[in-house]
Order: sequence, then structure tokens, then C-alpha cells
Amino acid sequence: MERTIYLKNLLNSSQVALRTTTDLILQEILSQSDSKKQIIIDFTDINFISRSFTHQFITAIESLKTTYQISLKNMLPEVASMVLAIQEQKINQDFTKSRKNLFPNNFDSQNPVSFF
Amino acid sequence: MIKLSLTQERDPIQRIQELVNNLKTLEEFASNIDLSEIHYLTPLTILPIAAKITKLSENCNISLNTPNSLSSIFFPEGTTTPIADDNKNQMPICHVNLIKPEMNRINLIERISTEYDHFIIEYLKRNQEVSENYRGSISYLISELCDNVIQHSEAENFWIFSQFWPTRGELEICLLDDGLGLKGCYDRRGIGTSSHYDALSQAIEGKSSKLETPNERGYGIGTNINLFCSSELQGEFTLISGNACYHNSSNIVEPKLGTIPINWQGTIISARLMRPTTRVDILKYISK
Repeated sequence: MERTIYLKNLLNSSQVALRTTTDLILQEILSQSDSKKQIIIDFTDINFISRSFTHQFITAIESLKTTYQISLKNMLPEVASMVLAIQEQKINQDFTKSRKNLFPNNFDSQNPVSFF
Repeated sequence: MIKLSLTQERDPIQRIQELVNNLKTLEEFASNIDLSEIHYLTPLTILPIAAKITKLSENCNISLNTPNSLSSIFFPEGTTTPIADDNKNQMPICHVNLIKPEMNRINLIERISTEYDHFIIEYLKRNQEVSENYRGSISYLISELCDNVIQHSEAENFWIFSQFWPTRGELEICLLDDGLGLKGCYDRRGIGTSSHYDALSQAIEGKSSKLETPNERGYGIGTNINLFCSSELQGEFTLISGNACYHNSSNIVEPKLGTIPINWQGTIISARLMRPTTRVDILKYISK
């Protein structure tokens, strides 16, 4: 037996922000009396890439997986790769490779210089 | 009467200089403001002026002499419900008052960021194919920067404005608020900073303004700089807070950070990005 929660429907029905959607979905999951029921979270038509939301959402889902059977489906590739990285805690792995020089060469935070 | 002017200057540092000059002129406030010599504008050069004039007009009547190009973008007041105009390459100025009691601050900013993001994407689609990774880059920028306003700024007002140059394939987005600014955020939470310059440099380094969770990721500004100044997006990133200004871009070796002769109450962030010709892997730029 399974129950599917469509993210898109939650967004359309309540006009809430994605951050609030996390809470709504968690409430939906926690309201299931039968923890053995398979819960599917369907990402159809969801295209968000907000790291802060995705990280918050997936972390919450991962912690609930110890009690509930939860699966995610129909994710766009961008979303899926973000989710996978968060699940595998790989998100910081390649960061240093792509770093740009963030500060001027003679930078000293205590000795401001003129911008122009 | 005071006169503001914007030229067709392409050099980003010169554009910042023009903005600073105009804001400085506005500080010598006059009730008559002549903007008829503004012939060419970009989000970074016009949005702070719109915000400044809107704030000044809260206390007295201001007479504006504006060209038609400014009224078409709802200058200076902005709108909370941007509507796309097929004949324009600019989005309207979006201005949100965050202290109206009937509005939930967080939901309001997130709704605006989601709608504006959608608005930009739909607009871009009329002129070009919008790949998923380009779309993701724009969504990421808007959501991250709006998130900073929600979490840190304590602002009363929030503005966003963007412009698209189809032939060059460039998009510029500017967001600003009238909140605490970076130094104010750190100071409010008991994290000492010696100046706006110091606070700005700490924010770039990724220092969180949350004293209780100092190891938590900070403003994510370093991430934004790395992403938008990357070889894929070939963009520019500018940040002003208080009297400190930062600029970085894909085509300069050394970024610029220094003080400017004005004091902006709040934060101004502008990013310009090119339509990517290769796949942008956002993930590799994102730090925890």
C-alpha cells in the first residue's frame, strides 16, 4: 500500500513558499498512522534549485527514513543531482577546485583602502 | 534642482562610480530631481536611485523630471505585481514593503523571489532557449540572495530589478534592501567588526552572523561569487554594504574591495551573467 504526495499540488493549493512546503510535507508524512505504508514524494514540475531548501528538505526526509518508507520520484536532473549529493554528503567535494580569487592580493581587513 | 546622469559606460567600475556619484548627489537632497539625462540604465545603476528617491519621498513631495524609459519600469516606486511587456528588455522594478502588518515577512519574500524567478525565465524563453542549467543558475541566485534578506537584514523594504540584453546574451539582476547591512547584522548578534569594510570581507569569507551557530554557513556570498564569475557564466558580481564595495568578475585577475564615499543603509547586490555555452554544474560551486 502506498501514498503519493505531489509537491506541485501543495504549492498550487496553498501558494506557500518552498520553505513552508517542507513543513507541510513533514506534517503529511507524520500524520500517516501506518508507518509501514510506502510514501512517495513526487517532484513532477518542480524545478527549484535552492540549496537551502533542498538541504533542509532532504535532511529532514533522510531522518524520517528510519521510521517511514519514503521514496522520491520524477525529479529533474538538476534537482536529482543536488539531492544525491546531499544524501551522500558530497556537496563540498569539488568546491575548492572551482574557487576564484575572492580577495585583492594586498587585502587587509583592518586597513580599508578606497574602492576607486 | 539636482541633476542625475548615467552614460552608456560599459566598464563596471565606471558604472559603480556613476552610481556612487548619483547617490552622493541625492544625499544633498533637493525637492526637484532632474533625471532627463539618464539615457542608458542598468539594474545596478538605477535600482538604488529608485529606492533612495522612494525613501526620500516618504517625508516630502519630490518633483521628478523623468524620461519615458523610466516610467515604463515603474520608476521609482516599483510594483508588487510585475507584468511582462513583450516589447521591453527590462523587467519592472519590484518593491516590497516588509513591515505591513498583514503580510508574513518570510512568505512574502519567498513568494516574490519565486514569482520573479518564474517571471524572468518566462521572459527569457521568448528570446532564446533557456537550458535547465541556466535556469538553475538564475533560480539559485535569486533564492540565495532573497534568503539572505529573510535571515539577516531586518529590512523594511526589498527591491529587485533585472534587465536582459538579447543580442549580447547578458542578464543583470540587482537586489537591495534597507536593512541592517552586513556590519549591522554582525553587530546585532554580538560579533564584532571594525568597519563596513571588515564586515563585508568577513561575509565574503563565509562567516555566519549567527553567534549560536558560528560554524554554520554564512551569507553564501563566496559561493555566489564563484558561481557567477565562473568560466561558464562569465559574469560579474558587485556588493555594496554601508560604505564598503566589492566587485569581482570572470575577466579580472584581482577583485576590488574598498570604501566608497557614500553610506548605503542596507545591502545592494548585483550580478550579471552571460548565457552559458557549456553546461554549468552548480553543484561544484556550492559549499555547505
